[in-house]
Amino acid sequence: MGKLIDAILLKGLPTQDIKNANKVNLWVMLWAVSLVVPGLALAVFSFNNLVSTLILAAINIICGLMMIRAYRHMLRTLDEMERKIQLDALALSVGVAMLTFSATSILQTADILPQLMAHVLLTIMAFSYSIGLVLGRLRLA
Amino acid sequence: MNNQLKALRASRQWTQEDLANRLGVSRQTIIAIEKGKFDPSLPLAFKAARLFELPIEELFSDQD
Repeated sequence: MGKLIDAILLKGLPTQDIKNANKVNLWVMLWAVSLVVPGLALAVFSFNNLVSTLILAAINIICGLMMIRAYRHMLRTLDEMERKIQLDALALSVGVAMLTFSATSILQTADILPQLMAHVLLTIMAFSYSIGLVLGRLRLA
Repeated sequence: MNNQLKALRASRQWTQEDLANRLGVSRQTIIAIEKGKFDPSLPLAFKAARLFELPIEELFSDQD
């Protein structure tokens, strides 16, 4: 149980790595907000102004690019073991996303499942990535 | 892969944190290498060999 808590709390990682991870988390949150806000605005306020929608899309893209940049910087500064854990977790996340997408596609074609929403797929990817990180740290701890 | 990292570190009375700082990796990485759970890259293995002033094959050996 102690190992699991250490793995979740990033115990033993250098301070700089934790700072870089926090920067990534900040951009992920901003990107998620920039993704949710236009959807809410459209749903709640019947917001359909083209220029404003384009601005919101641009903000989402900028936040996404900053998130990628922060993650790339974090990966480059991590030591080799932590980088391996991160890459393994990413591989798991991409694999789970592909399987989810392919399986739900078949079920959608057969009208068993409704259309897979992008936010559901993103949540599954984030969850599998987090699980991958914890499993990687437990395996190498 | 087997390694002598733990014994060599102990012989110099370095902590895992000391060795991690000298090699520029995290303490978790040193723990994993010492336990044989993680095999270091060649550059890191050579760096460790230089640090201990030993040939690389005295630090790391094939499991067989």
